[in-house]
Amino acid sequence: MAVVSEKGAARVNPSVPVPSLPPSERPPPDPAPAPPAGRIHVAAEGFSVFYADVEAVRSVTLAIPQGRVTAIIGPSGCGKSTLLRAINRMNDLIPGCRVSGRLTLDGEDVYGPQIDVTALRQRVGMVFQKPNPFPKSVFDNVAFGPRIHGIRGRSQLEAVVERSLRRAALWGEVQDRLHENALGLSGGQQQRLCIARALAVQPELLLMDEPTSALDPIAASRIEDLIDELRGEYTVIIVTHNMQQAARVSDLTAFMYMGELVEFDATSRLFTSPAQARTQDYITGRFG
Amino acid sequence: MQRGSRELVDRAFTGVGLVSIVLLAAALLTLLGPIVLRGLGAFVFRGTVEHRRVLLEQFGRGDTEEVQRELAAARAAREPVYDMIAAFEREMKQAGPAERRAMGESLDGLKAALRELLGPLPGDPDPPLLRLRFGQTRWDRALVKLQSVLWREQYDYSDPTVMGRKVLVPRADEFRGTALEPLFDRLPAELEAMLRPRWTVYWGFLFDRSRDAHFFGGIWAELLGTVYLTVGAVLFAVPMGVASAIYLVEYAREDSRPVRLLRTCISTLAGVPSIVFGLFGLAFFINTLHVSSSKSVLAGSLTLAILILPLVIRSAEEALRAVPHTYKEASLSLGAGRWRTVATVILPAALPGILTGVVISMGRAAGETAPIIFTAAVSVGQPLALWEVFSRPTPALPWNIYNLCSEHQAVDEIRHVQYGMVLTLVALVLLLNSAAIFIRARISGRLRG
Amino acid sequence: MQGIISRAWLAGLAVMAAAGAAGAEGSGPTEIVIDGSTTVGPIAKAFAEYYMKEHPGVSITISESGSGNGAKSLINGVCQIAAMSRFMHDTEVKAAVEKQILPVPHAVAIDGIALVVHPGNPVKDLKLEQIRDIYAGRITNWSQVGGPNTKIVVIGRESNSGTFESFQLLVMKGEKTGPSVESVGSNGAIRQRVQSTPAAIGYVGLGFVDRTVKPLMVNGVSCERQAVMTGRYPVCRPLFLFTSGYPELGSHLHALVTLHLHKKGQEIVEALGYVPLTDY
Repeated sequence: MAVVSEKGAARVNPSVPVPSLPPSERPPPDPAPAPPAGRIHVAAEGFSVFYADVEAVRSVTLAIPQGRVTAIIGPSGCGKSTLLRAINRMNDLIPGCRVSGRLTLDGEDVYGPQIDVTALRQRVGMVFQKPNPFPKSVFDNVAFGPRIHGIRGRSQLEAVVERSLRRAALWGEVQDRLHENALGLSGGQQQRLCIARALAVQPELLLMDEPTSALDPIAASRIEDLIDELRGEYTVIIVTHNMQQAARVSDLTAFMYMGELVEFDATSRLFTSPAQARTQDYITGRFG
Repeated sequence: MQRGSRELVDRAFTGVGLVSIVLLAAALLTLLGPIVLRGLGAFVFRGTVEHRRVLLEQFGRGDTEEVQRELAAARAAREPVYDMIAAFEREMKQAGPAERRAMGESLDGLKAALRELLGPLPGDPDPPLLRLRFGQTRWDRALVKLQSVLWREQYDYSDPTVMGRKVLVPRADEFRGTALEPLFDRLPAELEAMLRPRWTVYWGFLFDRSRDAHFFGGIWAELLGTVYLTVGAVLFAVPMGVASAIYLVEYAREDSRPVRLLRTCISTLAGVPSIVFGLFGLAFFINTLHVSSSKSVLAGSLTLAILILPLVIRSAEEALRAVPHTYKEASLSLGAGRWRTVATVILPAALPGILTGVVISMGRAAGETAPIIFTAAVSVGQPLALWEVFSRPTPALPWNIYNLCSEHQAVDEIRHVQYGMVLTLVALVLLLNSAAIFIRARISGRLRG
Repeated sequence: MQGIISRAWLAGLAVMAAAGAAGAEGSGPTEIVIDGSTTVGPIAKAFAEYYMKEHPGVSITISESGSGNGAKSLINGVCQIAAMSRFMHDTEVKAAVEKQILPVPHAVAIDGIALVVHPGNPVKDLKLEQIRDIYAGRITNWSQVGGPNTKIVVIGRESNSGTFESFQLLVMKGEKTGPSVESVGSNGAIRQRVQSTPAAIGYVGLGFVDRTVKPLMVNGVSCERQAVMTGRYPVCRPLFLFTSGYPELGSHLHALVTLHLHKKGQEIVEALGYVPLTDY
């Protein structure tokens, strides 16, 4: 059942090498990236993350607008996943991890002393690299989040589950199998289930850590379609290894290298005429 | 390594593995074979009319009319024997004093052997002990007793340099020419008619109480006691053990001193000899805490619980650690607190491993003797009702097997009971272990989708 | 649904309680714990079975952990009857009195301690001094006492046993047993060792002598009813049931410890192979 997205034609075709202007004809690099339009959802100011003594994220300053899809790219070990996980404080699970600087969600410092971490995680959902549905039924997976946050009534839960599954473009395939074990679904279906599960608690922000790297191309393409549909209603930050995916899917892209934020710009500009030489080298494949 | 020698090593390794498995299977068969075969003898045997009489008179089971009919027929078959004895006694009266004494001695010996075989002779006073009121209930024992009627064991001390040799002297020789001489031909021929053996399946062995120190009846008190002790031990150990495991896996900081000390304590507890647990249970639960005024199932269960606690903790910990880390991440990222994550995601996923560990611990607790000697087990006692477990002791399979095999007054008479108890205990443990495997397979299947 | 279940529970509990209360004439506690000697064990078991048949509401449990442990249990208040095959030591009596327990002995039977050997052993008769020498380790070979040339395997009891203490008193006259004496835990264990070891010698209560072992004559007196009852057999002792104070008249405990005064009790004792106190 191959589904070819019709939006694919409008995207930049990554197999054609992007011609770059000779250095003399390039416009001078912007000293500070222009703040993108719209309300800022997540902002980092001089934010660093340390694993014991190793500085995995070095003093990053970044402003992510609301309602857009922002991609974070970079080579392995550049700190992009660490930065992502810092937003919903999943790094707290790692012993010896500490932060410095400021990271705010809607202006509120995420690491402030008054913050209720569970409430934070309800506002900020996460989808992981390898699909990880619970070993429960499809229904119980999606209903897990709402149940935590107080929704108990059967009919209410059913409504939430259906809405989330529709949003994740999975309803048609599982509506007859709601009470079967979620582990019986295919890889792509499981990942969409995880997205539905994350959406069920109605977060404002969705963090996706390499969501398609464990999936086959057709399943990956469906996830990308889904991200497209979520744009506007949700803010999405997606970390990806796959530059072409970032180019297809995101409005804004941040390039990180060795823990530092090298460049942050609109996707089309970053991929056609990046301001930094390192960015240029990365996207042309000189390293990475 | 060269290819040839590599293949040789591979094949040798496979061979060693196969040989080990074969040896293990052989050892298991050698161990279990006799247990099963002889133990089954307690349940399935050729039972005589005396057995049916016991069931009717002592346990109220069986068809009264039929048993009466059989008894009448058996008595009819025995009449000639008793007549011969009466005739001999008349002959005795005719004899001179010395002869009479010798005849009397021979007769006493014969009568004693006959009583063991057929039960009280006519004219005997009513025996005070139950075991003396019936003849042999099992045909295999009856045949053994028949031998002691027909033969007398004597020892030949003729050679002073060695220990005497056992010699079997036919008892018939003592009665040559008397009225009793034909008895020794008649008895083996007619014994079947006198005892009327029939293949019997005696399920009552499990469910009847024992009568007269296990001479008759079954092992219900012991079986029930073992069940109470095992279930009690699990009820105490599992909540404590699983909670400890959750603490160690989810909440404890690995590198802190107190946690490392805790782990050392748990490992040490696992290595303590079981007799020490028994003494500890006596000293602590009974003499200090006074959980009961004397031995009781409660004290025994508590002691057994401490014995199996390290097992439960260890298997629960392994099961919890085996749950993929990703479930925890997913749950936390959805806004679940730590406790909710443990309770609704991690525990259910670890359930097969925990249950397996619990059931294996049950098997261990069921078979332990030393912890219950001082805290719960008695040689003789009634099967307990549920509310009596808090204050009363009980017989239990492991302890009573030892007791019956060594301290009983008539060990040879109740061999079948000993084997039956061993089979019951082994079967119980095997059943529990099979249940563990079954549960694990069922639930893992469900978890794997 | 809930209502029906809880009502069923209540009904069930009521039935069980009624069943427990029924059939208990006599008064006083209906749970009696007996602990002590393995020699007295068979008598205690037979008495208990007989009494429980007559009074179905009474429950008697019996442990056989040795005379010494029986005394300890009585002193600690863990049991109501201590079955002992010896009298209490002064230390035990002192400990009992300190805990406000007055130990009262009830002698229920006489027991002869039979010296047993394997039936293949030609030796029939030993003097008391010879037995002492054997157990002290001075006589080591059967040939020294009229048997074949085989090393004697000496089997005795462990120190918490009343039979052991009686043996020490009556045969060893206080002398310690030799280092190579094997200690086993019960009468049954001695019998098992002796019946399977041709060169063994051991001592058991008279009730444990059967066809598989051969009792020796001591000083020419064989160990049987008349000789034991009159004291001609040198190694005999009474068997006791100790209670704390004299049991309340009319209670089940009282009936149990006076069972031997009835003809039935003495018949049971004799049928078990022990010697009754009197020619009843």
